[in-house]
Amino acid sequence: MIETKNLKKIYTTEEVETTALNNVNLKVKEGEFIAIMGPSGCGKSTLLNILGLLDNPSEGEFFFNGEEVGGYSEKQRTNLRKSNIGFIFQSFNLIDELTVYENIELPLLYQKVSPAERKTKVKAVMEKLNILPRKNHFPQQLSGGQQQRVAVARAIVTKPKMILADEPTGNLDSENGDEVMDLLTQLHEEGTTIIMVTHSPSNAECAQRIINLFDGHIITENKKEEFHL
Amino acid sequence: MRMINIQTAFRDMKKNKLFTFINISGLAIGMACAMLILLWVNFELSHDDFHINKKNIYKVSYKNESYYGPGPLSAYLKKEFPEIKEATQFLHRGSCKLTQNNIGHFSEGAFVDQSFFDIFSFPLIKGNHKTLLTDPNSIVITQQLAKRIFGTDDPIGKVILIDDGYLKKTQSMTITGIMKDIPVNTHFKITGINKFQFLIPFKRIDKWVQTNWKVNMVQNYVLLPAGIDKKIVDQKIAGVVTKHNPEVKTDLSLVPLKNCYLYNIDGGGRFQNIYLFTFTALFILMIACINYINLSTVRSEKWSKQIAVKKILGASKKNLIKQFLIESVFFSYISMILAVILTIVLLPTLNNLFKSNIQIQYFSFHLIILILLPLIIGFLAGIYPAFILASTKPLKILGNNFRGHKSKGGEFFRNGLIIFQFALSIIMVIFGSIIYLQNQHFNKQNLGYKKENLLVVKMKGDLRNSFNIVKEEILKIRGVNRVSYSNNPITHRYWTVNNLKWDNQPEGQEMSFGMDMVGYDLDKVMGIKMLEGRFLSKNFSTDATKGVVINEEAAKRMNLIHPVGKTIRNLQRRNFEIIGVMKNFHTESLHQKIKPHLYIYSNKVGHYMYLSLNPGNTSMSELLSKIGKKIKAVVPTDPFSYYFLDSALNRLYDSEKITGILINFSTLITLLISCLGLIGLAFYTTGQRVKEISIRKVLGGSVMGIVLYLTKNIVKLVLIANIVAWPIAWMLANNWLQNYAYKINLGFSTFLMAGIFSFSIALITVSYQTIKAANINPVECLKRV
Repeated sequence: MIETKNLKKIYTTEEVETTALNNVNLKVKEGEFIAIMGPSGCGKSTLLNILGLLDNPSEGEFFFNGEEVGGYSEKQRTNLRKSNIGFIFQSFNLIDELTVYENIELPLLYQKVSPAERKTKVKAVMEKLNILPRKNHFPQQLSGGQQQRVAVARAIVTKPKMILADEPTGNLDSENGDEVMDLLTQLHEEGTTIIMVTHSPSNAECAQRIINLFDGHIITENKKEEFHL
Repeated sequence: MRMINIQTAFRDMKKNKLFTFINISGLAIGMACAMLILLWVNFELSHDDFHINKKNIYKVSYKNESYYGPGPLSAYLKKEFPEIKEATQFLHRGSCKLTQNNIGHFSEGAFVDQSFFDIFSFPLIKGNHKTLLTDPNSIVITQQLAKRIFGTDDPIGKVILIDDGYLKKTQSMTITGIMKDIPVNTHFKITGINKFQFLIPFKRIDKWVQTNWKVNMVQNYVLLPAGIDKKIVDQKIAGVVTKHNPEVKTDLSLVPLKNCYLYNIDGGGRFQNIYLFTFTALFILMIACINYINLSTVRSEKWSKQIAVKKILGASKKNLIKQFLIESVFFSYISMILAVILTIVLLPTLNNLFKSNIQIQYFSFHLIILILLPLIIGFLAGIYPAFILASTKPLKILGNNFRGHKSKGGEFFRNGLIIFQFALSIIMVIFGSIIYLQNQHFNKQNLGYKKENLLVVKMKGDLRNSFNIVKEEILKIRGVNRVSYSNNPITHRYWTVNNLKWDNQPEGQEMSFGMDMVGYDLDKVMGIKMLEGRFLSKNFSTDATKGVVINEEAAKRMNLIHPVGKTIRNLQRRNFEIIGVMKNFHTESLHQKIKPHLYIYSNKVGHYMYLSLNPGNTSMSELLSKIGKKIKAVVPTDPFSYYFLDSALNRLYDSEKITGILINFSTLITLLISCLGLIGLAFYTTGQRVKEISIRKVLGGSVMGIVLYLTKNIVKLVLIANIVAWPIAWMLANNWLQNYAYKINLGFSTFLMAGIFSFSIALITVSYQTIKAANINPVECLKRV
């Protein structure tokens, strides 16, 4: 589903040039669950941005579903992204001004889904994640765990082929964290491709493959059976 | 989609009350102010719009000099020029006495002929439009006058006695028509607010007025067929008066009806006001928009998260721009609702002030404006923030250390807008002060006579006939100093005479003189000084028949070094001897330079009695009632109708007063909106700099030092605004002052004061937020950051 060849990302300011990613070669098959690990500043988020079509690489090639998308314009990336990728963040990133229902509905609006269909889809996903009673609440009125469930609901309501999760349990206690991981595992079992950045080895355990980044390089890649924890 | 955008906007409004308050109140006040101004402009432009033939009606003028022409002109034009479809004349006949059942009523009227009704469209309530004034004994009156004289009775066919100077003696006239009251928005305003309330046939006037080509006292109008080029007619009629009176050198030209009010030959400059205030209205709207733009861009940090999330979820730039535009248009419509309420509340005050009857017409183009304006304003205010915000990159949000974006370009743009706002405010403060100073200058200007305690009493038949008895009686009252009369108000140049000859007249010199026929000792009543010789006096029997007094300006222009004793020929077909020269005094508004004027004795008592009063210990009202009683005792049928000269003079400056009020009002609004914007900006910018302030404090910065540091920027901006504003204000003021013959000098102090004022107001506005921010506890805010 995803393939990168010699991917490079360089950030340039007036005085400093920082290489965030250097020669990253990565292949992700459809239906795979991958965890990306590494210390702060190793390039995890940069890689996720590029894989999530939020940013373009400086050099190298990036294939999405067999198509080279490294040079796509913002508009092209937006179109590709909205129908294929769902995002989950550490800090949930719900829109404070919108209710639970409206937050979940938002991606469908941008996909121009009809109102009736929107209603069915949002309701279904809210039932699935057990947040239906909260549908008229605003994010501030929810606990962290509930907020993240809303964020997951929002990510999966469009039935994306791939979910990118950026430390999804980082702001949650262990109980809520486990619940979110269960959800991701379930989604994976249903066939969704998942790429997750995490600091938590126990979370990484849910993945089929772990990629360790350091200073913008992939240093190791372990299959699940090779985990040495 | 749209619903959710409006919903979001609404929630956002509720959450950010300061932002909402500033934007909505700023926009609403701006819109209300702009609407009021534009309604006024529209009212000014609507003058004489109600005439069906408005596009083809022209007033005959001496090119840019005067609207008053000879009596036979219009009949001649109609007869001789096939291009002229219809022509008519209008001779205002000041205040006349109308008597019905032995009760006299004063009213303003005019001589016109039947064709007047063919050209103009004054709506008729009763009477036959075609034959209103065909009978020489007919009179048409307005509804209001009919009510005053006849109450609820039907006046048609009733006979009324009319007494006016030209009809020789009291005449009986039969009422043939009732007109609706003359609309406020017509140029047929005579001295300031008076309009005619009755019309009588022109053929009733003295034959010499009807046939004389040398006296210019009639206003002539023509109606051209549609499609005829005015310029062609101009060329044809140019020399008509000269043909009959070779001494007239000025060509005739036609002035479109529309311009009669807007471009007042007699001064006033209404058209300039219209320009001035249309721009002012636009500026005020711009300033209100700028607040919205500035506050929206400065708030981008708050919105960035929302934008980034939406972008990640698939929102395109277009989606987001649409969202922000919907939001700003939504704001704009809410403001418009408030603005309409404000306008409705303020409109009666405006009408009162301007003696107008401006109304919002909901079912006219006003409605289109009410619907379109918020759309346009919302769009203009929202488009820049929408682009800026929609262009926010969603990237950093993933790193969880998102802090909003601070683009140098955005700040530069914002600063530019603040400078623009303040520069406009400063220009208006300077301009407003100069108008104020000029008005003060008017009030203080020595008019050449004593305007205080000068009473003018209008006189008609009985009173005029009994003038000498009345005068004697009145002079017995303590507090009445002197009494005299004049045929026309001294403060208006009604009559002009041309073609005079005088001793030592330079070859080919032709000039026109203002002329008044007056009683003895008027100079002493008015307190006018004589430079040479004496005023008309009953001690010299020849003064009544051949004495003429000229003003200083006339003497100068006539090129006479010692005018007394010289002869003026061809005045009323007679020779006159100059017996005195009066020191210059103003017979017109101060827009006009003093012009040559002459005074001769009128053995017929004039229409205006002038009394110089010195009430001393008695109150003015007591003195007035004593005078009234004395007059009533002699002529019981006449109403006692009077005015004070100084109040009549003030009316000459109505236009200035209106300009002054509008400018001051607009300046206030501009300042208010600008300051609202500054408060909002100060709130958000100091909010963004909390971390910086805290670090400075931890490192030892004092409160005072930080306050100074934070206000440095605003001081810089206001300074630049002053530098930009001063030359523009100077140019504008200088240009505006060109309208005045007697004007103030543009002093540097006005500019300096405006500068100091702008600094003070800006600093006071931001001080609360700044001092609060500088006093913040650094530990607390570093924790927060």
